[in-house]
Amino acid sequence: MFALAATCAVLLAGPSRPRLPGALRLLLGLGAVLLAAAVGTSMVGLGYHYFTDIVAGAVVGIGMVLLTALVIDWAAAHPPPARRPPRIPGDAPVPSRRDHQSMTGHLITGEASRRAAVPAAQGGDARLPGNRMPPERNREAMDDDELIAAVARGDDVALRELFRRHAPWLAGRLRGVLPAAEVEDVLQETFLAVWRGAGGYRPGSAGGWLWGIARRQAALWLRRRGPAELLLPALIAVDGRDPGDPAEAALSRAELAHAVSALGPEGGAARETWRLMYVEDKTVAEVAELMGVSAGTVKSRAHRARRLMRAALRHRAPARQGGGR
Amino acid sequence: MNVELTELTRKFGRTRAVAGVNLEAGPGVFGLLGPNGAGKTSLLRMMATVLPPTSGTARLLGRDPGAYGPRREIRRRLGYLPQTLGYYPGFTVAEFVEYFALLKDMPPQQVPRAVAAAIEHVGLGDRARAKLRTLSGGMLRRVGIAQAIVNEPELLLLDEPTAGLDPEQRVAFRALLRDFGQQATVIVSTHLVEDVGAACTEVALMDAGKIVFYGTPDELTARGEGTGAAGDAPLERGYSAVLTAARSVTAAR
Amino acid sequence: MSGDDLLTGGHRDAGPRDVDLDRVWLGVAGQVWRRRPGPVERAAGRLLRSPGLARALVTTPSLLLGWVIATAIVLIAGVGVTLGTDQPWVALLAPAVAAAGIAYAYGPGIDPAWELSQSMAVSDRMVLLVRALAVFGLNAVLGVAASAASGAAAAVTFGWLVPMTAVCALALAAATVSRSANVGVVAGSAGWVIAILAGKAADGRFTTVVTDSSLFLPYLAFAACCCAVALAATRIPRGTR
Repeated sequence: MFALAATCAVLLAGPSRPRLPGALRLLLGLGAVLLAAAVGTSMVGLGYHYFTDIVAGAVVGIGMVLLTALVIDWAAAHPPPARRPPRIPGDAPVPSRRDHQSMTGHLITGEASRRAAVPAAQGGDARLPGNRMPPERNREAMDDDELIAAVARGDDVALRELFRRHAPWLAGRLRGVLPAAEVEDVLQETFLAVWRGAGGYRPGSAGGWLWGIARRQAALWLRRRGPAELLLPALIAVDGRDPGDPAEAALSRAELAHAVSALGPEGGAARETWRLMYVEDKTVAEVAELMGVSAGTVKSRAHRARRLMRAALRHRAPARQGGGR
Repeated sequence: MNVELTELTRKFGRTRAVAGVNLEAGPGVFGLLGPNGAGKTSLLRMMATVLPPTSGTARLLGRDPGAYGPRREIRRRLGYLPQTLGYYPGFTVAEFVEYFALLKDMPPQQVPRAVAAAIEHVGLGDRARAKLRTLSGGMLRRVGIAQAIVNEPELLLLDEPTAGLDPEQRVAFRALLRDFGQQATVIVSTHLVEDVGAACTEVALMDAGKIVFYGTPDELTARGEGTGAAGDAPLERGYSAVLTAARSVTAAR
Repeated sequence: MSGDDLLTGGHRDAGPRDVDLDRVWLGVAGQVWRRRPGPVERAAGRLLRSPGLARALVTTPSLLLGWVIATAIVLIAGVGVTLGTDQPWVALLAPAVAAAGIAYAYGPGIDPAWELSQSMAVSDRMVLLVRALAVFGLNAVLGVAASAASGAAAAVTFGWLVPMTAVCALALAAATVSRSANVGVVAGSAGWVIAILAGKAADGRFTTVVTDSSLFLPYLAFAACCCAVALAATRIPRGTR
């Protein structure tokens, strides 16, 4: 009888009822085991009534199994709601419908899967009380800080959304420094580092944080490749960083190129002014004479050039602590 | 030639589920049509080396599936989606696909990328770590398709793959078939005629264990013209016409 | 699949043309989604020379932690009761417990994906064999440990190993023939109870079934028959229509 009841205990702990979470199954198994043990010892204490006891034990054991099976099946048919972390308050969780081809383009699912995944969110119903829809489905509506926080919690779909948003421009920046194949490897390492290190992100500039990780990965790659691969160090680190490390300097160069391109086409007033003043290191008077304009015009053009470059560097660029200019 | 079947027969007791099928297929997408009970599933099972034939010979991927070693080689290059695919509820999508990728003897270092590619290919990229018990029927079918394609098979056998998929997903699925049909032999068994028309280069129609038609979808459509057979679409009419003709021949015997 | 702007769609800022972002994402996703094999799985993979077989072994339901703990607790309870009385409860318990574990060795809850498993390069029979051996071995080790701890009659301590083999084989055969783990458990337990009762009826003692060494050969023969049955049941795929 002990054996039968014990078998029942092991049965309960087994995977035949797979919908219960493991801990609950274990507890049920333990409970049944203890019950069996208790019955066993009590039987021994009452003396040796073998045959009838065995029959009774078998009946009790099988009855227990059937009863618990019924209970468990009923419980499985009414699963508890999935436990989700609370929704970060903020924007209305209406998914923004992209007009472009959905992420999975010509793959098996187009909008269908996202529609299926967001059952209650169409038309902004998401604010209904008792809304059971997990907020994770609205990743398109989450801003970068929320996405990174989700990644820190282990949400791989948030990582996917982060990739979709930021990989293109990160790849573009890296492409300025590295050949295409290496950009792919560095970008892969970057996002794996994001996946592992999202816990260390402090809300602020997500773009800057991402670019910082990409920089480090690219610098690692450049260092590994040896000096022959390194590009010449940047001429001027516009943001004031000392380009001591040639690898870092190469990346500063990419940032610089990006900022300079914001000044307009080559030969344009702002760009020419910048080139004369900062690359060729001429004085205001010399530039005014070369360009045939007044000194005041030169100064205002230089001021405008600096403003444009600063803006270009800040857009998806690190906002340093202390707020650089 | 990836598939060469000669007089393949399968009996269950006295019934002949498959009665002497001859088939040759190279790369491309082949549709297998037929009413329920025509023997499509048994034929597919034999090609998947799950069921041994009662008589006849089969050569799959240039090998004989009767011997253990070659059979294992065939299975490494095979992708199979059965008609009813059970799932392990506690597994996640990625775990499920990875499990079967490993069971197909894929080299372990290739597995993660192949699994990711298969999952993205069927459009379940945002559910890769969702437990299977949280998925709908159509999604589970797609998980089944993912495990079938994960090892980039040379022979892809799909039994009723579009069950539970909505029309948009079926369109995307047909694109997937065309993709694979470039290199591999894809055999799709279905009783939905329209699934076949768009994607398949050749169609075989089975009835009562025999192949009663083999040709292009256009040829099947042509068989239905002018016969007044039942059907809402030209392909369906061709289908009915061929079936009626085949059954009247058998009845006449 | 690659080559289209799948991940970025028609987004304006689609990144440099010669960088394949889809390929990059697959690399990231592959590492994020994969399940890293633990030390047991890696060791098993090297031992069995098949990572697929190792993964199948590690996902055996009756080797999962919950099961192992339940088994251990049952046997510990048996030890406790044995120490309290003179009856060798561990020897009588262990076979039934092992049988239950063995019945669940064949696939997660008796393989719902059995047809698919039959088309795998790592054959389902190999998986079954490896799993059954692992469960049997583990249960035997636990049982031996429990027996030694209880200090009951030495002859009985190891006398139950052979009956355990027989009962496990019975459970395995029943489970594979009926394709149901529960049937295997019931068959194993019922068979064992019947054996106990028969022993008692013959000799008047409860423990005849484990102490009578003349039963060893019949046990082993019975085990061999059940193994043959299990092998036959897994040989011909049960292809219904």
